[in-house]
Amino acid sequence: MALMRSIALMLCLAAGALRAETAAPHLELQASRDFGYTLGSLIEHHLRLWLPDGAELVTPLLPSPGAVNDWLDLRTLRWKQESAHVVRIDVTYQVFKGVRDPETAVIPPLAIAYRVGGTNAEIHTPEWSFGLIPMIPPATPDDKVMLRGDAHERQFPARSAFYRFVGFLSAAALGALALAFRFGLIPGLGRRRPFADACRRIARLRSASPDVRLDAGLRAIHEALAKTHGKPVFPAMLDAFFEARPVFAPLRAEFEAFFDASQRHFFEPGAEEADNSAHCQALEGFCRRCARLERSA
Amino acid sequence: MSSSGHDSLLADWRPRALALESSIKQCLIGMDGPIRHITLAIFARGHVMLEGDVGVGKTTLLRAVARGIGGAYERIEGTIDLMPNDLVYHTYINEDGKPQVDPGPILKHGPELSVFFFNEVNRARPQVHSLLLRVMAERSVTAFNREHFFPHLQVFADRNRVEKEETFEIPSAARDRFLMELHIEAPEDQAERLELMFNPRFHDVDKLLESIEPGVLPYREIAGLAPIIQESVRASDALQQYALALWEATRKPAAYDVAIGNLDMDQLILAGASARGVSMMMRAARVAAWLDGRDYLVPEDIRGVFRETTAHRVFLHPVYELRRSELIGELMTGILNNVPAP
Amino acid sequence: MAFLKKLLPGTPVLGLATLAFLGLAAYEGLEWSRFERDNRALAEPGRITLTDDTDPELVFAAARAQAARGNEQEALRLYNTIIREGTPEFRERVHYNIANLYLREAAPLWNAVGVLEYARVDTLVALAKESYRAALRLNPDAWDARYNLEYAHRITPPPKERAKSDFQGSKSSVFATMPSLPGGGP
Repeated sequence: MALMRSIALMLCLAAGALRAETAAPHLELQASRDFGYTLGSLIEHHLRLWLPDGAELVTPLLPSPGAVNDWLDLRTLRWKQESAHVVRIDVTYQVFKGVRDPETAVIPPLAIAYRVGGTNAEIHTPEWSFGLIPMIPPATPDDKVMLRGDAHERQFPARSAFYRFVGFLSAAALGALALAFRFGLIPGLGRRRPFADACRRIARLRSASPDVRLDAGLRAIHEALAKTHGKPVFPAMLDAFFEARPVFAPLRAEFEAFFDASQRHFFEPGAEEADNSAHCQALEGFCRRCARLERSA
Repeated sequence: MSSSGHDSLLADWRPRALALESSIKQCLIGMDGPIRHITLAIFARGHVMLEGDVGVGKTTLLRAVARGIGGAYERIEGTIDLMPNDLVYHTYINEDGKPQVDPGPILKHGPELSVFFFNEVNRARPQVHSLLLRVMAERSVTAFNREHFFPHLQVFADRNRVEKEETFEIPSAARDRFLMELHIEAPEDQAERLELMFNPRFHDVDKLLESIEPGVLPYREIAGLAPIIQESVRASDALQQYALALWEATRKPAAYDVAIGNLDMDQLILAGASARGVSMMMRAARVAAWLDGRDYLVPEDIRGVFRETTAHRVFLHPVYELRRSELIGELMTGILNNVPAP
Repeated sequence: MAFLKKLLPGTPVLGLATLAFLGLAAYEGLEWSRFERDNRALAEPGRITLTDDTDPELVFAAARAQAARGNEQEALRLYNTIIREGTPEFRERVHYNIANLYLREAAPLWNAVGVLEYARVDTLVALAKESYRAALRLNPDAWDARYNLEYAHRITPPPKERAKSDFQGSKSSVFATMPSLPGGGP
């Protein structure tokens, strides 16, 4: 029995010790080096804070950037919850301590506030001392020190602005060239747009009599076809035409109707056109559709 | 005859013409174009010059045509020693030992002669050419002290295009009398070539031609029909302009932007198509319109016969005459491609 | 040509792109001409005429020219008009030059007369240090500022020493120099 009781007691103690272990928050500080700093140097501290169950960082109470003392600035402080119990805090200091000879300076403890069970508590970073060295050789008399000169004004980046200007101008010129090419404004290179021209010519004839309009309209489209194909297109050549200009293939039926109408108008003697104006309308629509296809080519 | 009478006549004849065409097509493979043109020539009452390699079916074609038209068919081979007399009569010692004079190939059948085929015409002497010229132009010949008329005569001549030696080029006046000059070539299509090679039907020409119904066309009536066709098919203003432009283009191709390589087009042409030539072209075109079932002309009618009726009438500058066969084709294609209608 | 056509984007895209490039080109062209003009002005900073629109860099150059001419007060005034403008790099330079102005005034005083000019030196050095710190906050790697600030710290009398040195006067007793009631009152 006595043995049993003593084992139970030991277990209790062990559990208590374990709880005590987890209950105590502790902190670990890492810095790259602790020597060779001069005035103006930045010092980075990486803190890892272990917090017990239920404890959490009180972020509003974390030290805020600003002067720590008359020669030390806290520049930045960032924190990150690494896991349920571990918080990582990165602190950057800047030293403004001027020294005549190498000396050791001490960064005072930093208070990190946390809350556990409704009450606030604090844990302090350890004091951290580091070696500070002067830039001016220690033995130099004050009146022999040559001060560093003023900062100079900077030249304006005229050259790079000029290059950008030329670059953008060339890009714009290229764009304009491509547009001109698309709209056939470059002689010899750009494609002409015979159907668009034909449409304009047909539109110009609106006030003329239907007979004249039909005649001129048919001729205009014949001409546009010839220009597009490079030679006059006759009804028997439609297949070859569509093979050479597949863009127009969707309008095959309309092309055939056009050639029928043209044949009737020009060659069939006495073919009375009852409604030439309707034909003109159809012709204009056909020409517009051709012009649209022509543009998409 | 009234115009409605004409109409019904034309309507009657059209199926017959098409029947002739299709029955000839059955016998000859890959010759649809020449057959159509010969059909046009028959109804335009024009003579035809055939040009092509040896053994491509020129003779078969003509025999088929002759059989279809009906009437008498004669042929003669052009040789260097052929004299005009040989066409008109031939003399020999008969079985009784007496000299005898018989009518030659032209006269043998009298006015019934409908197809006369002059093979290798360029081997014959110019004297023979001039006789032929008269026969073609006037459909008559003087022999045995009288005029013989051949109202139904249609002359087909054949020119060997391979050999140029010991040949006499046909004078331009004679060439101008031919309505058409057709190029006969072996079919390009592989299937048709295979058919020609391996189908036994094409090996026996005599038997092959028997499949053509003789005398599909009553040849005696064609002479009367031809002018009716010419009268009934009309040409609109736009079409007349187009035909005129084509003619103009054979004289001044440069004006229509026709170009062959970098030749100077003004130097190329010595004489464009003759007036007779273009009227013959229009005759053939009208027949084409009629065969197509129309009573008006469209540009396709002219385009279909332009090359055949015009190419041999354009005379090139002597410098270029040697390259004629190559240049003239390009010229015709250029003209057809560059003259717009309307 | 056909493949080229296919490569081109649609007309609206092409048009917009062209316009955009044209706009950018116009902007850069203006910038370039302005830079050229300002660079010419920088070559002769003494002649810069200042208006409200003058580029901070030109004001900076003008201030430097004034300082070089010995006109430190005007230089300081000019520096202070541009202290909140421009990039951090620019502000760093302004702070640094201001600090230099103060320090260059303080250093000879310190070296010549030491603590006797304590008040002036202390004020000037304090101002210089403040500006150096501002410059260093903007750019911790500004070595010139670090160096000069270290010097500023050197010529700063530590408070204890300062108090002591006050008593290193020629008088033996503080009371001897103290104005007071005449001895032997009524």
